Amino acid sequence: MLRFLARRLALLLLTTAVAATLVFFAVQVLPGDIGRTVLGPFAGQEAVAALNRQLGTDRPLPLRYLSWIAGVATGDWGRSFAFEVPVLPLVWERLQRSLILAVAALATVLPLAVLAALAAGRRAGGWLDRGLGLGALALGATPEFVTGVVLLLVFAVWLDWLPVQALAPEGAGALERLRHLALPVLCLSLLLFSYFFRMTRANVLKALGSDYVRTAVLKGLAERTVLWRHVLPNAVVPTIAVAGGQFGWLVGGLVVVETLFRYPGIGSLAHGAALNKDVPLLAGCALAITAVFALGNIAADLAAALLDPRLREAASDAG
Amino acid sequence: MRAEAAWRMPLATGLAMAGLLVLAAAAAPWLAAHPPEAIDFLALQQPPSAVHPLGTDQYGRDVLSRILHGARLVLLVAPAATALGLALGSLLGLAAAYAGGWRDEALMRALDGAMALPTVILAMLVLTALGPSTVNVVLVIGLAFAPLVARSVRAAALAEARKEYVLAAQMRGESTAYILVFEILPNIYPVLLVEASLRLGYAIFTAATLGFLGLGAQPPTPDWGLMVSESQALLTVAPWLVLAPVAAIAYAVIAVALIADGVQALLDR
Repeated sequence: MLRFLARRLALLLLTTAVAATLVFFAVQVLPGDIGRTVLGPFAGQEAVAALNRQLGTDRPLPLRYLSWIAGVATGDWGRSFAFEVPVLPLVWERLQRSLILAVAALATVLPLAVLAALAAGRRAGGWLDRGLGLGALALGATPEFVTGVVLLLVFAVWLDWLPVQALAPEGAGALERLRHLALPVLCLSLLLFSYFFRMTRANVLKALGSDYVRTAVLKGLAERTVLWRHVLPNAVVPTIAVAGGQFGWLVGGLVVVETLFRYPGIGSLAHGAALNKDVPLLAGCALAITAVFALGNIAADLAAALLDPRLREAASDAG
Repeated sequence: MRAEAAWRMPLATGLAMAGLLVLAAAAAPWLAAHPPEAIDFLALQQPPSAVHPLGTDQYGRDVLSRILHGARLVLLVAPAATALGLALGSLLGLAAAYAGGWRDEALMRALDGAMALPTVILAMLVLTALGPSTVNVVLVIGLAFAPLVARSVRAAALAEARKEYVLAAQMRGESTAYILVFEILPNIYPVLLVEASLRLGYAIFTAATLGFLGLGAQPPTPDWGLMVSESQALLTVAPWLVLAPVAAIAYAVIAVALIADGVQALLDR
């Protein structure tokens, strides 16, 4: 188990290093002249040169690469142009707020998708199965800003049940905060529902066709007992194992949902940085998101391993 | 009978929906009663009427005309991005399978690293560097898809490489490049077909999202995603402005998702 963890952590470091290189390439090499990119085509050459000197982007590329990697490793992620503060603390503060949103969405969608998959898989090919399958197909294909706008229109404008903004005013109670978070969380959950539902449904069908479920049915257990005690655990663990792979979707969803609902998280921070051409801040956001994405993968693997003794054994063997 | 229906219905519905979209896009210059970018200060933000079936936006532009011309944009951007991703990904996947050994390993690990960046984040980085434009959106989506395609193509090519017809070609003394492109590639077409239909849906999805984020097509382009973000502030006073592009996007992605679902079920038969 420990060796498994160590291997995964080593892989995490490697992924982050590759991502840091990629981010460097995207923000430092791709634009050619960074000062020009930031200041636009009408800025004077002197201003551009001054900005490049200030950013250190007038130095040769290998040197810039080394100082970027060293900065990333030592926690010096540069300064944001727009906010005029160091990048790392700003990114860290916004990241925490986004995590609240992401965790709330996962906590909402996982039980919902698993229950829907059990109900659908129990009568495969039935009307409930087909309806849920079609709904999941449509939801999984539709961009989150599309569902989000419809949710806003229905629940915030027409019915006037929920607030438009995701962030509650200062000093609001817990219930009020939840009310503000409801729409963005629902929007993210709808985005993720499709994948979790389809995955779990396939696992439910596999479990239903297995020998141990046939044994359970033949020895006279009630259908409810078979579903909850035998099918559910075997269908849920693989779903949790793939949950980590969905973090990329979740992050992409965060950028859109936070922008749509005006929630000050890492997604809207990155979006603002992209629009303002705040290159250091955008690079920092991308790096933080990638690291969290990789960590999420590991967490999901660990959770699946802890829940399933067979995976646990296999993991320590392979380690 | 039932297994047959499992692919027929979605595929037929999806193809019919997509066909209608292609027709509407092709006939846009004749169907649209107004130029998509024509500003009319005498008809600002009008609700749907006989002259403007879907109303007008805050600049008096006819929403239906903009939706129809937007369909042309979608049908250019998404297939182009998908084709780029498929071509690049197939090349990388075949190259990895061809090289084998440590080169294969290194290439695949590098692609894993590239996939560690979520697509939207990668797109934001590249579009900030290159500047937002429709062409750059095609480039960035194609680039983001390439590693995913490469993975499936490589796996399929490796599985195929052990088959007898490949051995026979090797015995004939064909070069490995010839075998990969003319023997293996035609035989892994199911993988390419599934990838193409899946990626096409995600391409529409991603292009619409980038438009909404203001990183894709720029005003006054009638891009559906951009139309949503432009009229989002008017949600309470002029909901038709948001609902029209939202419905158009949902229609397009669901049509392609149905096709992809049908293709997968058809090949899994």
